[in-house]
Amino acid sequence: MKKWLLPLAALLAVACVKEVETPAPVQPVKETAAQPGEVTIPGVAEVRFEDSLLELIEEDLLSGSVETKSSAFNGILADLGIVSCERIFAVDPENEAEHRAFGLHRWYRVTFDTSVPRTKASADMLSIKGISNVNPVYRKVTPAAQFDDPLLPRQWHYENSSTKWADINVVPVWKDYTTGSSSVIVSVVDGGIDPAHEDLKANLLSVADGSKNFMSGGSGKIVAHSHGTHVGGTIAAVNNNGKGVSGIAGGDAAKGIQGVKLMSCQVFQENAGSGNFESAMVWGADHGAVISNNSWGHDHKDAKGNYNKDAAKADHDFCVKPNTGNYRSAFKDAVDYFNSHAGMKGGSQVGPMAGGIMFFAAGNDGQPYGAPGCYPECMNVGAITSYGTRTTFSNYGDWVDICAPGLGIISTYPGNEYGEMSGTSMACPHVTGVAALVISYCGGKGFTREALWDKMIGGANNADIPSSYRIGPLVDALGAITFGTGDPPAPIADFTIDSVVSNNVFVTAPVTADKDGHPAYGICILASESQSALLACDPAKPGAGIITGSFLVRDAGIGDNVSGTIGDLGFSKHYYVAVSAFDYGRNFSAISAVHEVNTGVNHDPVIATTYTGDYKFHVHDRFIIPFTITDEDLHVINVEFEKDADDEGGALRLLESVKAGEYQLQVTGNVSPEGTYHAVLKAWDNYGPVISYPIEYVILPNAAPVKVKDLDNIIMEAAGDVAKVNMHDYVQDPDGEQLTWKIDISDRSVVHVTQASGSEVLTVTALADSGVATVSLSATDAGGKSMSVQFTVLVRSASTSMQAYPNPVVNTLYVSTGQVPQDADISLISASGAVVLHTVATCSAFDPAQIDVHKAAPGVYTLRVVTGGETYKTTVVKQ
Amino acid sequence: MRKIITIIAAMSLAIVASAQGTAFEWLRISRNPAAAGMAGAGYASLVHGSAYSVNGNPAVAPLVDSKLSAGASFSLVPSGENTRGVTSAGASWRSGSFSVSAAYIGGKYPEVAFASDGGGEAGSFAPSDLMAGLGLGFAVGENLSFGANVRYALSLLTAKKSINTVNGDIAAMWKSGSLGVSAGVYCLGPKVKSGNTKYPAPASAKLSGNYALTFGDFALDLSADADYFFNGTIGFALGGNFEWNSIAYLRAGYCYGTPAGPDFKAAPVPSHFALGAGAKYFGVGLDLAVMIVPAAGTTICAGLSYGF
Repeated sequence: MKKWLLPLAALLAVACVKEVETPAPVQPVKETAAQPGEVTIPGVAEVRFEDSLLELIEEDLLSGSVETKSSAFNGILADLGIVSCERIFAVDPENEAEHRAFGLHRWYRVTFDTSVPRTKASADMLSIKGISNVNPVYRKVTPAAQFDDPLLPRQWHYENSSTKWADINVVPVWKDYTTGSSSVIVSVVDGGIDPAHEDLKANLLSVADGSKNFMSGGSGKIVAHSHGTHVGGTIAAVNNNGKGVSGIAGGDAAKGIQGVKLMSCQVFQENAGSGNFESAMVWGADHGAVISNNSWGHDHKDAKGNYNKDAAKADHDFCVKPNTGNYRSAFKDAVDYFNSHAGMKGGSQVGPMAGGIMFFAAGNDGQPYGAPGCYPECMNVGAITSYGTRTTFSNYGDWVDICAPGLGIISTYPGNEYGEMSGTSMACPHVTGVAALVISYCGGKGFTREALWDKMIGGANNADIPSSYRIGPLVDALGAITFGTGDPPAPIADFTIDSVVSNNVFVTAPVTADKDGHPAYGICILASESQSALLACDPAKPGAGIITGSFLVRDAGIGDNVSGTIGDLGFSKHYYVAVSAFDYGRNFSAISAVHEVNTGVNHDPVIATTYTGDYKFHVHDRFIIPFTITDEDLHVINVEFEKDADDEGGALRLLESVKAGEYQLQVTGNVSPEGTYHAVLKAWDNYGPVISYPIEYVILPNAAPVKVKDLDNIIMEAAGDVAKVNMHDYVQDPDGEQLTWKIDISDRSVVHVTQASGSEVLTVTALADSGVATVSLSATDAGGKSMSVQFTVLVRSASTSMQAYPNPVVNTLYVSTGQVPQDADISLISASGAVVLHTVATCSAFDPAQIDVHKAAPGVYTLRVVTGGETYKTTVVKQ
Repeated sequence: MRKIITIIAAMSLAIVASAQGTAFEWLRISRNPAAAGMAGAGYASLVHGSAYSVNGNPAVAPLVDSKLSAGASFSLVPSGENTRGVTSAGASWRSGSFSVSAAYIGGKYPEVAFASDGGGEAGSFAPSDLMAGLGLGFAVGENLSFGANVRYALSLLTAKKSINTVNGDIAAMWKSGSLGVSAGVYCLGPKVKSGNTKYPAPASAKLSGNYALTFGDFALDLSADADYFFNGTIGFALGGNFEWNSIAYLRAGYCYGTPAGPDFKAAPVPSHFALGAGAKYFGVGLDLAVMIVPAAGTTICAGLSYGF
């Protein structure tokens, strides 16, 4: 009895419930709803500048600034709320001359305040001399786009145009089968789904209709939460309404088809902890839901963010056990209740499916553990990238049933916003949405959760996802809908064993045809250590002792030879191997002739780098250290970067790998304090030990920028005069880095200062024929240390030796003379000829004398200045 | 009389109490070339005639012989790096013991280039000044007279800014034989408001004396004038007018004014030397004066007059 107390105590001590971690959303896309009839993108215009205006503004626009040397252009910035001007035809050093000769350099995309009417923006811009064309920008859709939701082209997870198989294959379902039915209710146990979201509310149940806030002490209302809103949008954002994103089972607004209904069961709220999960799970079953999406799991990180693998394993080991005896828990009871009671009442089916199904995100620790969803009665979902590889963060293992896209997923955000999120939290609603489509199409009297489970797993794509990923096959919406329908292709008589690498067998087989004369959809390779077991097996349900691996025929024709692999066999063993053809409905042919093979041994992964540096980083260092991690057995490699717990900022961190075998450690020198750190890059295949590559790295001390010499003041003679100042001659960083400069000008009507991108050379341009301005510069290094310097720019004609300003004057009159400070005898003479003020002051062009004239009577005066042996007179009006 | 003196004293005290510069100082510069040639001295003399009495001593007009006097002058005055022209005209009519006078002064400055707070270009404007006034005089017997002037003055400083004032003079004069004396207060009026500040007018109390010598065809008129300006400064002028047969005239004078002190206090009329010459024939006079002001430069004033 007491045996279970210890693991339970450990579980209670370290396990806490939290939503599955996802990185912070990246650049939420603010999509302004277009007005009825508006087909152009608001706040964006295509503008053509003439060379006469480009001469004044091009340098600033290319450096990213919208403030330029053109006062006319600057005058419309605030009124139109212009935030960016980007060249449409990007600068191409190789072809720039040709582009400029053709005039391509004149076109810019101008982004302005979306609340400004396009007609006003166009008229204001065209009123500027030098702007010849202002055109609207239209949304772009591919001709085959199913829906007019403007962000659908960015939702690669529905239709991937680059790695064509790495999506959920939902578009054919939308076209030929279903877009969702309002008779299907999906419970989303998560943060609150924004009840007022423009792209969700039509498919969202209100609190009165079933949504509920399970936070203790809450108001009962659903409070919008970014995670929950994003998950809900993937499942059932309204389709074809000209707004935002598409949802997998969101219906078709243009055709008046409502999507599946989302029931928001809120268990997360910002700054309020979490709610009652088990109650939320059961609530769904009691109020009409037949599907439950759960993008959350147990948190096994301590207060410092360090992952406790032992605690995670113990928790996992508990949760994978059946719900009996010492392994019984409220969570498992909640799951079992949902599975048995959803869609049922009094033992009879009342909903579109008899029983319910719970989907859980596998988790983002990159570990083979995933409590509590690893409970076998739940379907667990892992995550892939847009390239079809397993994400580095996805948990994995034989308990993960299926996978879906989970990196860079675009969906809804609170407040009518849209944005990207990543995580198995995002993969899970893809599978939920597909299940909702299947129930929408196939559901009804007699349709059971077991049938749905078979369709989801059986119809999934296990050909393109290596079994060694251990995240199950890739969810396939069309496969799930059509699973079990149709006839099997003709059997494959024989095939060829091409090679054996470690525990992988490579085969080539011919493509056979089905009864309709279509090529088979795929070929399944079956292997067993027992010939009799292999000969007796049903390829559709191979059973114990049979290992399978599938690959798709794709564009090959009947009779063509296609090749594939079966992996995850034992090492140094003797196997009997056969193949079977299958169609899209996963109907399998009888197996082929049997061949015999001997598998090889396992080799460990190898970690290597071409980096020869010393791992001593300056604060300003930002670069990539490339690594290759290879496995000669072609096994999937698990990679983990164990960072130094003290390197809280992550000065060295592992980036997401986008190419097999290639990994990158990113060095960012200014995110952690100086010191010595120790990290370990680890790699292992699913069969052997962990290979470690220890890395000791040092963040060097940061020195503040220092002034080398004083800046010289500048005198210019007329508007258009240009001076160059190389700031590196005046301020330098002892660490040798290029500093970031912030420029402030006291009078922007006198001078304009620009800094070429990547350079410390300032270009100072006089904008007026006379005036004085102080240019203040602040230099900051990557460590945040800074110093400030300033210089004065005086613009005046070469013939001007004395200047008095302001004129008219009210309080203080400034008298500037030559470049060299000298004594000046200053007299103020009234209109009657009386000297009302006489003083002597030392002044210069950059250090003018300041004469307090506030007590002088209003009138016209002569200012007489004698300096340097010369006498200068000018007329000053005192107000 | 006591009441008037009390009021004048109170007003003068009020003016002295404010530490500000004095507005409309140019009203105290004589535009009569004959008087200008004597550095402004001669308020107790009848030798300058009465045409410009609105810009001089209002008590002179009822004592001069001429029944009608008129004059016009043009002055070239240094202004900044350039000069400005000031036009003046005056007339006086005497009937018995009474006299009525009128005068006008007007001038435009060269275009002033304005500058912003940072020294940048901020447009330009040509300021201008204007004065129009009237005078009344009354003689008691042949030796004593009283007079008063009232004038309106305007200065356009910028296209949007101008100042104006109304002020006046009160004077008394006694002339007997070769001797003449005069006392009066000049440019008395309310402060000039500009923004939230008020600036005093160039008011003063003046005492003048004159002695005329005649020897044969020649005559010499010596004048001395002393001002106490109500801004706490003083001025005095000494001048002489040498004539032959009432046809040709030579004049010279010196004026002293308190130089610049704190808070822009200086005598409205600066220290300067003056030289003048004139000719008159059958009542038509032509006069020329040159005033040399050390800091400001040289002013030239020329005028035509007529009296009968």
